[in-house]
Amino acid sequence: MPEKKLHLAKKRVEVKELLAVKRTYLHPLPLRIWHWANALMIILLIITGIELRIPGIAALPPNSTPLLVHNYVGWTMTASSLFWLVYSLITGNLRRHYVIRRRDFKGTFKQARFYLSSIFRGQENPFRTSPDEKFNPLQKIAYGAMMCIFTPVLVITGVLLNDKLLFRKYILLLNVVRVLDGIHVIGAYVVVLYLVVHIYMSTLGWKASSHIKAMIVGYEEEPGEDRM
Amino acid sequence: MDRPEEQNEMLESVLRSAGLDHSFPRRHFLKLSGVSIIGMSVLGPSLARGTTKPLIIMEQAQGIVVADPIKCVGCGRCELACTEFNDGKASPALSRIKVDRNLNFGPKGVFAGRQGQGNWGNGLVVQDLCKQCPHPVPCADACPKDAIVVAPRGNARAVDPDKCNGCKVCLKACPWDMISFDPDSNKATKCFLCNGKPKCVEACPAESLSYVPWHDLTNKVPRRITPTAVTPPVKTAACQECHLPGGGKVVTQGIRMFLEMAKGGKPFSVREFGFRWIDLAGTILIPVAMLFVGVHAALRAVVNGEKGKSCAGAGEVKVSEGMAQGLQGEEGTGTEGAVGAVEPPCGKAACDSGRGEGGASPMRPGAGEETAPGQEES
Repeated sequence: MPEKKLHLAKKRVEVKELLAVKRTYLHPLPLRIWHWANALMIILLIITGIELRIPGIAALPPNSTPLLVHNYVGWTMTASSLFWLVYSLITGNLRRHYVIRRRDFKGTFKQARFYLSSIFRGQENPFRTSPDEKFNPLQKIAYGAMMCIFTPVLVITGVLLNDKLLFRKYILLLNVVRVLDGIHVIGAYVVVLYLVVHIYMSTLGWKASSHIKAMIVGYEEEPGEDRM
Repeated sequence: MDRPEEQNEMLESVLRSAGLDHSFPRRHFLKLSGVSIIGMSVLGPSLARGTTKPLIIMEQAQGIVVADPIKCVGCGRCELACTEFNDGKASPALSRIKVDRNLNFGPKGVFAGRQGQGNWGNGLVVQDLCKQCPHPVPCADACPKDAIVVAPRGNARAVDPDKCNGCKVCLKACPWDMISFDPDSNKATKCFLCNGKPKCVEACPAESLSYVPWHDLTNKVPRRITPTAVTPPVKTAACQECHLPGGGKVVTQGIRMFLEMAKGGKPFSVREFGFRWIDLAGTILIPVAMLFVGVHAALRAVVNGEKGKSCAGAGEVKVSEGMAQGLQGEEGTGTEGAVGAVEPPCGKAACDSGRGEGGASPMRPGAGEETAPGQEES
């Protein structure tokens, strides 16, 4: 009898836990596919980029694998960035989630204080995500800078460094190969730093896996209202 | 003997001049180190700029003149055509294509002529031409006036006579001895493929010479292992500007450079290590970011662990408080107010599960009443 009772009690608790979880649909399917395709591409680009960087580009024969992979994945990355831009402009993704509003100026400091100190005291995240505004002010800054500054810079310098295009003549004429290369590499460092922080921050959800799960299934799990 | 004292005095005077002699709290130290890191990172590239010569990367030559030694009869008409077209005079010594008999084969090669010491050669006719080196271009790298430029048509490496001052450095730099020197005009001159229509090829009666598209055969022909293939260390350092030593060496070199900088030597010498500041930035930045993230995670883990324990301990107290407030709410103050008044002990999963097992949630006044007796029973 007590065992059954205990079992029932557990069951009840489980059901309550389940009901207490609030699910919000955050990430539409095209963005989820784009995100994971982008993740794969960025990892490939980083690996091949390091392979190109270490011996120096001039030492590689033009048909070496890392060079070809970097080239082709670079073009797919260009296409994917363009897709993101068009998609975000059409669906209002950019306007809704990325545009920094007046109240975000205050929220930035709040959010920074949360990540730097109050998270260690076990306090709640001051920002609650919603389908209307899924990024907190810091995320807006980080993602906005990534998508609107660093990705275009990397894509443009990458395309300019590519030897398939006519611009090469002018690049050699102006002798800016090294400048472009420097910008490209600094941009790549930003991406790697961003990746490190991004992967770490993705574990800061309600549960360690909840943000990652949300990016796969689309629904973000949060403690429900009554649990708060 | 006196050195440490002198150093101490110097240090003191420096501190005094910086206004830091009375006290040097941690805050100031952090500020100073932050400023110095920024300063060093700005200083590094700016100093490196002065020490390194910009590398010359030229557009690939579109073609090259090759000679078939079997067909060549050694008539020398190519040399004549070359000098007539380019210099307006017949002067085989000035010719960019060099045809000679291999008579006196010594360390200086075929074209040392009768001056070269060594054994008798085999007497065959040998032709030699500019290879239009793809990269590095030794003559262009060596030229102090940047007078060796890409020809507008055919992308051959050509001497710009307006820039050339006749210093003859390129003559020494060319590993093939393919640069000629005109003593009349006091300028160096080399094969520039006659702007895509080589006159030597047109003049050759034996069809020995041909103008073919340039192909890099570096990894397609067996490597020649000769004693001359040894690169002097000075040149190796220059090569390492682009051709970084692969693998773990990059990291160890970065550490060595960083130590060198910390010791207070030169900020760093690019030429010595073949390592660019941009690579240094990467080897420092990314581990620092990972360290930061690791520290953040560790801090969180530590604090959350403590919180979890305190939750388990303080849970009962909180439950009773919640119950009390819940009861108060039942008495008539309004449950909503009670909910608002209670702060979550912590929002972490560990605490959640702890609370879940307890079956009592201080946040749910209504539920608290239900579960609290259950807790007493179990």
